[in-house]
Amino acid sequence: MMATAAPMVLPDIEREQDSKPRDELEPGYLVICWDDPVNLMDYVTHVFQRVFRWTKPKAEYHMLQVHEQGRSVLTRESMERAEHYVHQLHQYGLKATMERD
Amino acid sequence: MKLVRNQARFILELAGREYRLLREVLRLYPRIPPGYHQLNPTGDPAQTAADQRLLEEALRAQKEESRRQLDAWLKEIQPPRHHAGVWRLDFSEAELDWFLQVLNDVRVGSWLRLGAPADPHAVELNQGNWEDFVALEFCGYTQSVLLGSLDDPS
Repeated sequence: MMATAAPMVLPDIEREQDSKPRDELEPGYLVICWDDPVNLMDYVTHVFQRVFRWTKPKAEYHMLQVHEQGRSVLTRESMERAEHYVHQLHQYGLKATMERD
Repeated sequence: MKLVRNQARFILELAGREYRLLREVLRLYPRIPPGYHQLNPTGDPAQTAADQRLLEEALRAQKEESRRQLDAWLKEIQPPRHHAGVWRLDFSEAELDWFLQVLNDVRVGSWLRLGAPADPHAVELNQGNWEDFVALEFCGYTQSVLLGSLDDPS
């Protein structure tokens, strides 16, 4: 008896109509979190989940990037939004800065 | 010490000794000094200085408000009547998040006062720094209990 071949399903791929080359994007600011030897790893994950409304796996990914690489770029935003996020991270006691992209 | 979830509320249960130590540690809030946080250390110096001042003012105002909130919250804590002398501190989810911030401020501030060591356990303790070490350790322990229980669906 032959096994029934499962139908092959291809992912839907559509070209994003609104995407622009990087040099045509509005100027943005990177929000960066820096490693320090004091904040607990679970606490950093918790903060990322609260501030950015991220899932736990995504928050853990960035926490580990901070821990292992010394920093993680968390998001790219307008200046006002980037300042807002950096201020929130400071309220939680994390080391965070913003820089122009 | 343990955190118990009761529907939308969280109850932190503490033995008498733990509760007294927590009160002592919370007396230290806020502990991170102004100027610890930097907005953008590589930007234009004049703009950075102005932004830095604004950042410090905003953080100072937020911590003053948080100190008032902490004092009001501490005043409302009732001593244990039953539960074998166990202190029971009641939090909403938002209050628990705020409490974690307070504990972390005391923890990071105490670490800075110890000289920001890579390994705080390697610091030689003396009359001048033992309180910082105890605050660092107790806040870390309490944070771990809270964070561990937050993840536990039971």
